[in-house]
Amino acid sequence: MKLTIFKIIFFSILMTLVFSSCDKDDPTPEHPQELITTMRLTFTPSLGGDVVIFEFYDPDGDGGVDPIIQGGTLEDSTDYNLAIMLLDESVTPAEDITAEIEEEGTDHQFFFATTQDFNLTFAYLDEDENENPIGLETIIDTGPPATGQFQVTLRHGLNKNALGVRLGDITNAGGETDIEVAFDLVLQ
Amino acid sequence: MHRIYLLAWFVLASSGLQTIKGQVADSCNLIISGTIKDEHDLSVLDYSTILLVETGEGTAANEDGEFAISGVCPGKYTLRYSHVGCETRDTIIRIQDHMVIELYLEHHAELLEMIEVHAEGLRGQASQSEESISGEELEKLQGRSLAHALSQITGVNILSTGPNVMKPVLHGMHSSRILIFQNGLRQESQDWGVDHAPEIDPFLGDRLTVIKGAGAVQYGTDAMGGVILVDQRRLESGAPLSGSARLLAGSNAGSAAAAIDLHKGNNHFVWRVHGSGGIAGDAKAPDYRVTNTASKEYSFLGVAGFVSDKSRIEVSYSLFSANIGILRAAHIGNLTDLELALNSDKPLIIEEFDYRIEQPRQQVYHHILKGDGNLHTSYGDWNVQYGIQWNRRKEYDIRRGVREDIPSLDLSLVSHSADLVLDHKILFSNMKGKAGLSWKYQNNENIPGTGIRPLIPDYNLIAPAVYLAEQWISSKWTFELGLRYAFHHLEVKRFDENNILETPEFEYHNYAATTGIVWRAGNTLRASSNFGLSTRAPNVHELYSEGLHHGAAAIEEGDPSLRQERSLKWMQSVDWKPGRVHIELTAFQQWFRDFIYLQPGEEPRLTIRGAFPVFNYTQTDAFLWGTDVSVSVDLSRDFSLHSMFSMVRAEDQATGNPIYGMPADRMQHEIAFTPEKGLEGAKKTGIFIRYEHVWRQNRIPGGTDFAEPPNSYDLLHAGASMEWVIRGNILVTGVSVVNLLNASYREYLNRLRYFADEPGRNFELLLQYKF
Repeated sequence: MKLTIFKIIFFSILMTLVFSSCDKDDPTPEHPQELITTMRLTFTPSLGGDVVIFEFYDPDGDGGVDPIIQGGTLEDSTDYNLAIMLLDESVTPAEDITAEIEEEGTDHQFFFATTQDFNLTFAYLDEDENENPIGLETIIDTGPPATGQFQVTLRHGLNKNALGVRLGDITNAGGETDIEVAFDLVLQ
Repeated sequence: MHRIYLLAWFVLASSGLQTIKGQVADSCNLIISGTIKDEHDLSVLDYSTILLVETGEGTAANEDGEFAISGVCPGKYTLRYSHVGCETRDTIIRIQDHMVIELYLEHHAELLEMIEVHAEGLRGQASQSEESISGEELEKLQGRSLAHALSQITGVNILSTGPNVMKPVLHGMHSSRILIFQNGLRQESQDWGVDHAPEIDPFLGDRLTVIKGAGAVQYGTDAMGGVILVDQRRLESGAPLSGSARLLAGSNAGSAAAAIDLHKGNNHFVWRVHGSGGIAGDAKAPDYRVTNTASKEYSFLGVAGFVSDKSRIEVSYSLFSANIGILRAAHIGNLTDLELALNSDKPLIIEEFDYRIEQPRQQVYHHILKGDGNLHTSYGDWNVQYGIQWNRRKEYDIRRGVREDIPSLDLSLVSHSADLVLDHKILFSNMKGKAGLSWKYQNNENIPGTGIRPLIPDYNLIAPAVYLAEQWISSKWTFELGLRYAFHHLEVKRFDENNILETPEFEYHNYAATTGIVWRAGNTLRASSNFGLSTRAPNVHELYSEGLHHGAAAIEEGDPSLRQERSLKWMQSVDWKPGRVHIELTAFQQWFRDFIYLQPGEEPRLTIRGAFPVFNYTQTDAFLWGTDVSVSVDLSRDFSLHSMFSMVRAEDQATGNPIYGMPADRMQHEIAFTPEKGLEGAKKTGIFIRYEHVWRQNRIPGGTDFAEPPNSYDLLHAGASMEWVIRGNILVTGVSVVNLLNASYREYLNRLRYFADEPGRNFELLLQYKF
């Protein structure tokens, strides 16, 4: 009787081995949903003139081929309207992430900074539901000629009520960084 | 007809004392020796009496519960043993050879019964250093985490990710370099992750054992650091319904946990039910709340078995489930965020206390279904075991859009394992051992829908193995030899950058070998030396990991060209117990060839979130050495002192640099007051005060860490417990204070040390009822 029990155990083990060894189906690739492949900065002179576009472009996302970061030259002492567009171009048609940021405007804000030589000033043009800035639309006064870098930062889950944040000072913002890209900038 | 039934541990490789004398087995010069213990708390029963009914020969145990009867002829005897306050018990034994047994008496039940005890004819002490905690000592440590309980064994440290995720570190090794066995089955989970704690009920186990040697051939070829065994006492037929209920509460995080255990044995049918659950809110560091470190856990175990004279069949099912919050402030977007966090003395996000578990968090389930059978034959004991494990792990991150409830990582790991072991009968009077076959099949699957490229790919692993472990035992010497071979066939299914499926396959021949020697001089001195050779095939995450660690702002990348890692570990240990002092010393030296580790890359990777450092899995030769010291002194009848010290050194032999992530030196001193008669009418009273000192880890490789190692720290803990006897049952009440002085400190092996202090003072209350 006991031996029969052992036989049953052995048999069931054998069966499990046979069944479990069958291969599962091949996996399906995961499409990264939060991918931002492209950040396009469109600088439009307020008083008319040439539109300048800066672009961060990384079609394969993190890793793989290095991103292309295209800065540019702006006129000095000029007011520009800066519009930021975010895209996921790894899918066709490209997905517009800008709308997602706008929808979650209360959780997001862009910040701008430059290397020391610049004296660039800016003011937010847009606002979220709580009348706090988001930064997708900004006006920039370029100031005197200089050469260096212009950095765009997007913070997520920040505290917009902290001191200076509404005016574009990142120091007390908190939250975490979704985007941080430095573009080469020449003002002349 | 080699049948000896004695009540003992399911796992027989325990640390019993060995007192075998004489050489020839077939004349009347056999020796029966052993220890008598309390069945419930495993404390030794001093001055118990032992009698061989048939010959009238008897003896009394010494103050450590040890006894020996010599000049015994081979044959069948009734062994009658008793202790003041316990009922007398009879056990039938058949003696063919010298024998070391552990006998148990029930201290509080009035039932008189025949107990069947199972033991080996010969019990040799393993040459690999083995240490275990059981009984009352273990019960007081349980309920927080497995690693926490294990950390009371010298040489074991804790690698943590906040207050709820704790992994044991053994001689500097952790994760896939140590093996964890729960009731004889290897725990198969996503153990590669440094923030993945073993999925084991913190209340489970009547005994925790740490095998520090590397060549633990009966467990695996890849135990570079050692093996951890979580075992429950074997269920015996005819045992009355008994069990325990426990309650644990802590002030620091408003935590509460409860566990219940019931077991019974009828004539042939035995069963056990065990359940536990726990909840904790946000922990509190002395100066602030550590936000989002709440957790919820529950677990269940059911065992049913059929027992007869010659065989035993058991089926068990267990489930462990946990939902664990990870410090909110540790989720960072990029290096700038990390720098901000490092420059702040407090976490950047501190909220009011609550029990909510929000992102980032981990949700894990671990199911185990196991069947095992045991058959006594004239060749020895046959053991067959089949286990199915299903480990589901979901990790949730802070995400953009409405994706917070979609896991960022969703892994399902199914493992099947089959083992067949022959614990052969004693050969040539002095040789015992076992031979085994084992087989494992594992399937890892990324559950689609995360919207994030998987951190590790899907894979199938098939790993058959064979081993032999033998011991030759004489009164003074034990020699050991063991060999294991395991074949690994790994098939990985991953997508390249262009989302084209590739299915690389890998084959590894892994082997482990061990040899050792033990020398004994009476009951007071034991010295041993052991060599263990082990081979570990690279884990899938070392081959193919790709992804960003949000807690460390670092990208980790695998390397499919990695070779196996090999190591030779030499251990020496001395156990000296002259009178009132007990000294245990263990030293080890371990040489690694192709040690796999993460090396910081030269070029940071540029992404839309900024530049990230890249760490690549790579290999080097390494040398580790270290020492564990444990000293116990009975200062007087009521006072005792226990001190522990451990250190590990690790060097990359290619560069001469220290290896990253090794535990800092640590020592602990405890004074315990345990008066012979309990205070205030209690049966037992215990009061302790413990001092812990951890040195600063100064041996770090330059340029690989984001912050300086934390400073050394000192902690004071204290506690008291009372044990009462209520209608033959035992009630234990205990209070303790962890971090009595509310010290602010950070621990080098806590991955969240960049962001927050360790928890401050915690008052704990323990209630336990054993029936």
